[in-house]
Amino acid sequence: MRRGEALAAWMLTLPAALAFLLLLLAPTLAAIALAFSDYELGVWPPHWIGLDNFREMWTDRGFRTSFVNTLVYVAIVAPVSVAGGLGLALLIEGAARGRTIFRAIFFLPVVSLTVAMAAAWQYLLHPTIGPVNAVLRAVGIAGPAWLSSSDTVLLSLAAIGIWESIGFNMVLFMAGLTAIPRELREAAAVDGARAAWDRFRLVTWPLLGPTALFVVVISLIRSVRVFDTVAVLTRGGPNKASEVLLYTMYTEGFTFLRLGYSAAITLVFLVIVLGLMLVQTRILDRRVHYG
Amino acid sequence: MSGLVIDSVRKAFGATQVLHGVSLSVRPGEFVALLGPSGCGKSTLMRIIAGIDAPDAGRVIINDRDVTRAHPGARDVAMVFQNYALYPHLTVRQNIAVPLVMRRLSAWQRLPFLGGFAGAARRAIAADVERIAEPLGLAPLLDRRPAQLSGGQRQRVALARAVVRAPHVFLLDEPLSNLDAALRVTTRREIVDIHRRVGAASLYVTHDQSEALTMADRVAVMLGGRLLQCAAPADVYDRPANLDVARFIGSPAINLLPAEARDDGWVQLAGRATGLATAARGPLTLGVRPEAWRIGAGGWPARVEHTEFLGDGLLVHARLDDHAVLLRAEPDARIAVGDVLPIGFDPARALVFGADGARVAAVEPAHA
Repeated sequence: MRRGEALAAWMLTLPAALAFLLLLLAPTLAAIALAFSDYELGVWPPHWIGLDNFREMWTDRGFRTSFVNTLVYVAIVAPVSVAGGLGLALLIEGAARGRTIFRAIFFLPVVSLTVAMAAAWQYLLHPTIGPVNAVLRAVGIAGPAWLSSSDTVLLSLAAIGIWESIGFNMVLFMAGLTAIPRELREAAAVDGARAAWDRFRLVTWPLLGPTALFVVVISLIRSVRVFDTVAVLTRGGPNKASEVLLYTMYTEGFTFLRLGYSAAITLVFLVIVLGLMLVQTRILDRRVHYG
Repeated sequence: MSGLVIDSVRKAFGATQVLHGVSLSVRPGEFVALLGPSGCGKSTLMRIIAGIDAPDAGRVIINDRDVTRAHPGARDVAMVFQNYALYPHLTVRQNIAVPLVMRRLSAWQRLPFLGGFAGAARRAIAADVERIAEPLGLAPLLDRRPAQLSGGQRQRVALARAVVRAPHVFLLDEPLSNLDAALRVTTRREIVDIHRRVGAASLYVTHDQSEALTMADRVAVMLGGRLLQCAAPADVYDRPANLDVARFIGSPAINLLPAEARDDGWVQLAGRATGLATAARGPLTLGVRPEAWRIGAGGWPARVEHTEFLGDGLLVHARLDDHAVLLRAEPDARIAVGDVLPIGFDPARALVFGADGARVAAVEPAHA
């Protein structure tokens, strides 16, 4: 009877377990193994080269540029989209009417296809026919070539990144806000927290803690993952000014067919993302819950 | 007049008129219970006094100052919320300190709110917190968070937070409703003690008449958004202003029997003389509390349908003519279902209500 039950349990778990093994675990392990090889598509057999790929990365100026660019991108997009998402959530929450429409407007970028939206951005930011520069010209400023100048390309991509994720963060914060008991804000008002800022400090922000941590980590991970806008709009250019981690991985692997090196870059990316998730679960368990 | 004055406050939510011009005053040191069933508007009135909601019309005056449009934090009111509304991320000590921190420290002094940055003002706050926590038995709990406390302890923290800055007006919104029955009785006493110590004008919202009658100096009975009577507990019980109050106050409920006043003023119950006379004429309602009935020779025949033993008494459900009557007998009374008891009532303890529902003075036969 017990054996039968155990067997049934295994049988029922099998499809999911198989899918996990074949689609997640095996490719990840393969990528990790490849990272320590010199495998190139068409050159067989690959050789075990130990840490050579990582050594190369260390000295590769292209990779370093890409790594620094990713950091800069994350350093702009994550804080601005978190703070902006919170600001929007508070504004919309406090609005007397039109909450639904504003929520929909700001959430729109999240549900729209980035690649399609990238075309729209390309037009908006076009140096001669783009509306952005048209507006700038109207006030007497000569707008830069947003996506084709190495000074502004990363900033432009960051702006698009912010536009993409601010609505997502806003919705998460709004969910967090509705979970705060109304009595607490009322109690804060009666207790003498007269300024909105005081009530925010006393009640809203501390009780939003778990949500805020989640939003921060999700935003970091989402911005480290930046790829499609780069691939569609700039292809890492001009002059590698918009090379980012995943785009470098993609060109090394699929343009130069150096799958071993590409896998090594993937591994670096994986470590960053896992590290962020670890930080989240650790802090989440300890600090921001008032159990 | 200092204390709390509410002057013809009206409030509607959409098409629903919740408060129909309520006026009430509470003197400093006085404890008034605002008693009414749920949905009668008593919580709305309390929120208007606290400044959480604004009235459509009328004024709220606290300590001779019109605060109708003032921010809750600028009214000198403190409030105990029904579910305590403690800040879950702060310790008991920090929770109690909040009203003091908000009032005594400037915005920049407050910035490191959770830090322990010293200063004379912060030391004074710490001392005040401990002074208020001690008599409430909270001293050993000061460094816990609300989630680590029992319901009764949380309730005391909410009380401490409310009174720590000695408010002029002290509002309590059903503070006992989340406690179990035994704790409720002991906490009643604690709340009255705290009220006496603080000496504020206290307004206590409740739907539980036993709380209102046992704790308050005066009971304000509110029904359907109107204040029907505001008087000492004994007056509300013995001399209710009208039928609604009489019906609402008293458990078990008052007996209300249709009666009639003859042209000479004598009140008759189904053609029987009651020994009561009144200035009113025509159809009346006669109110007799269950304990005002007397069982004895010469009474009207009432058939016993059911009895309930209460320990200190026996509640008898009987039928007089077509009317169900409740009477309270001595616990050792030998009364069985099916008995026919001769019952009557003490005319001095009976209440007479006119056709409009208002109580009319009854006069004893000698004065008629």
